[in-house]
Amino acid sequence: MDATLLDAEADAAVLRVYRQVFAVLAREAGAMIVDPDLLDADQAILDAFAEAGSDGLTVEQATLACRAYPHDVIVRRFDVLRQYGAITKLVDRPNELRHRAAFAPYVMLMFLRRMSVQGGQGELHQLLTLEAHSVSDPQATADDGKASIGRLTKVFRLLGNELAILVSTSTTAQLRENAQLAWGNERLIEQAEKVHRLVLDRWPELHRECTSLRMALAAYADAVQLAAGRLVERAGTTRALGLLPIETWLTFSRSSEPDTLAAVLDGLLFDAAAPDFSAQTLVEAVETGRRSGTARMAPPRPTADADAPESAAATDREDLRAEAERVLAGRPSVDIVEVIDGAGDWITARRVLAELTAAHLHDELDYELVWSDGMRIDPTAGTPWATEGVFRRVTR
Amino acid sequence: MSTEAVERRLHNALWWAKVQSAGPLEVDPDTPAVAGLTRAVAPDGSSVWLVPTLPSGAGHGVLDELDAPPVAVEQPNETARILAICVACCWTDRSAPAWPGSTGTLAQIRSVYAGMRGRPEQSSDLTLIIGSLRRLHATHWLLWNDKAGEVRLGPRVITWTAADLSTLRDLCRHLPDPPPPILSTQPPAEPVSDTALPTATAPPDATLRSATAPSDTALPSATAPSGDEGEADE
Amino acid sequence: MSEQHALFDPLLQDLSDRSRDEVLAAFSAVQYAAHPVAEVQLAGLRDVTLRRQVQRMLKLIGRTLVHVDGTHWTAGYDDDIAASLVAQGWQPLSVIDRAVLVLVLIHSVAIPRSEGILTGDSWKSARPTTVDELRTTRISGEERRLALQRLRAAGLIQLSGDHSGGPSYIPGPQLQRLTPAARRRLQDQLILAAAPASPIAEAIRARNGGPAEVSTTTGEGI
Repeated sequence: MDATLLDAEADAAVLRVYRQVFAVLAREAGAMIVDPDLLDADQAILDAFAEAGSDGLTVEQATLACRAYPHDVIVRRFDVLRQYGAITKLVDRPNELRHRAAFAPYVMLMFLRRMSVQGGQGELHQLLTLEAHSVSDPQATADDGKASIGRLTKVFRLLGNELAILVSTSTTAQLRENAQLAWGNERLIEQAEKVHRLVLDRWPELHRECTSLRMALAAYADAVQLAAGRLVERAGTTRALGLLPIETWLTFSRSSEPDTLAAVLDGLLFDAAAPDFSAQTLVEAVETGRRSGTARMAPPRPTADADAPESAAATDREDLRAEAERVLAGRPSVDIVEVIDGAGDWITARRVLAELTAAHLHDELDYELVWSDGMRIDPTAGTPWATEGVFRRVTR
Repeated sequence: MSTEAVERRLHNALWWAKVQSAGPLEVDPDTPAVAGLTRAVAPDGSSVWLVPTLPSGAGHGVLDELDAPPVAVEQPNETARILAICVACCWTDRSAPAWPGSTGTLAQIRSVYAGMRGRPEQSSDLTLIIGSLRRLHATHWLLWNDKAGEVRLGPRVITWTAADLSTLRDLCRHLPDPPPPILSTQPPAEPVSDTALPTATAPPDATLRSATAPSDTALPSATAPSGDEGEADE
Repeated sequence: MSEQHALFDPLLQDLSDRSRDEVLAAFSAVQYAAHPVAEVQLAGLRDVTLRRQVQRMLKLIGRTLVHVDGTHWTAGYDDDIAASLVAQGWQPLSVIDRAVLVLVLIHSVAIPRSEGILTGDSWKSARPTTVDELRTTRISGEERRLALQRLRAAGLIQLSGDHSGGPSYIPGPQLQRLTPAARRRLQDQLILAAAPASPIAEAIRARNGGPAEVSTTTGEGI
């Protein structure tokens, strides 16, 4: 009789905690939330209670503390939390306005948030650590060990089932979206095996339960391998890269020695740079580089317009001077980046730069174009690139 | 195909792939011939460069018509100018092929460069020159010795045709004459007279230091040799 | 150069002048143009018979046609030739150059793939790798600068159009020259290096039938 009463009381206590922790997931009494933002509102309310101390909060104080959220949202959430017993009156009497919050819903909130990030794997890792801890406890009994093994067996069966069903029923895209089920499984299995070892060493009579866990682990590992194999098989020649989490890439790129990085290209051959310089290319380059001066040449070919560049040089000197002065605008020197930005589009900037270069090369004009770094234009993409540099007046 | 023919095919293909992935290769003169790879014998005969050659109608010339450019060279014009100047400095016997030519110096290049520009040397010139020399060295158009400040034509020049060479001969005639080279190790055949030394723009070591320093620290006065014209006359 | 060419003449001499020109033009385009060339642009690529001649020329020098996006062609190393050279330990690219290239591939291709924002199945990407992202490794600034320069000159990387945060790079056109087998090898080796214990790595090893082997069958549509 007493025992039954005690049981009933214990059941009620469990139910109370259940109701409390699920309060944060309740949209209203009897329905689950569909908007994750509501979790933020819940957290704000619980945060406010944490700050309030032992005097608790009235609804008005709570909405004031949560004024970053719409008033009616906070009132509604407050109500839901109260219905589930996550928030209760400070003293249970009709006119009591102040409330207190239970801690369990907050723990649940933290759990939910972490689960949402990693799909529960992080929590599973921690759960496994806790299980290892509890079966190592000197006070632990064979029943504790059995319960622990039982829980782990169920978790890995569920994990394995989920993945196996995904592999057999879903598209590659769906599978890829759920790839986190397969990530980091190595560590999970290792941890479970550790619990298994502890239990089997301590309570050899639990060998049947332990066998079940081993089978669950094997089934999970198989499902993981099946999923990975199917993904890799369908990933083409570059898409399997997307099956690893971003963190793996970042860790690899940040922590690897150059040798390790370089080894990724083992067995691959690339072409060496092999630019071509025909005689004609050299002639044209020399011709454009030479604006005037004592060393003149008639271009070897074509000969018809041999003097054109020279006469152009002679006539455009004043144009160049005008352009240079426009760019300098009375200043002794000007930043090239500013000039390029000022030009707007690249076509214009290129024309301006060409003029400034010509002014720089013109021996009758006292201007200088100085780059602080030799590389600034990328002809590959036909895309300009400007580094720091100045265009300035010089005294020769 | 006979086994021998298969092996010869493989031999050719492997060497071509090596040259495409590493650029012209310097090998032992005993290395068997590879079809299509021209052998450019080093001046002292101790090694041979393998340089790919193509039938006429193939090569980069086709790309212009297709508007399908090759991988771009950084500072293309500047680089081509320096190669032209090195031809003028290193191709001394212009009745002979350009390869292997003779050794030229950075001082010569600087002098011809300023002469080509038709103005005294400027502070930014040396940075541009060295950058171009290194680029041309990396692609085997030149063999540039950073330390000694000396340059020779690279094995790729062996791909220039007779028509190319005649164009380049013209080009050399129209570039300012380089001053005589003052080499760090004097070639036994042509001793350099002592009187040439004082006109050198700078000792190679000093030149190199200023060349590798950031351009904004290079003093214009240090890089503007006053004797450009005088050297050219000697 | 000489009128005769010891390697190609046996192939070319049977062709009409016109066919010869078209074959040589197509050969030059796929070999020396930085980017893949459109099939419609060249008779030597459009015409299956001529294209076969181009492929035969390429085979003579250890290369093969690589089909890009179903509409373009370029040339890359023949898988067997590459494998032979690799077996000899042939690797002209320096450790630093390779390391920097791999970093660009991680940031511009692998990470966007994990984010699910890259389409297609190639090593092309418009996601820039910033100098800051390259800075996180054990390579000195000067080494990195020179490596970037060399990689650009070879078309292995290129400057991205995005100049907002300083210079940044994307994979260069040369990566399009990789054959399907080489592309997959690069993918596999990147995964095996970054996450050797992952199920994906395990699946790759299982597919390749061992830790070291990589399939070299390509199935080029020539």
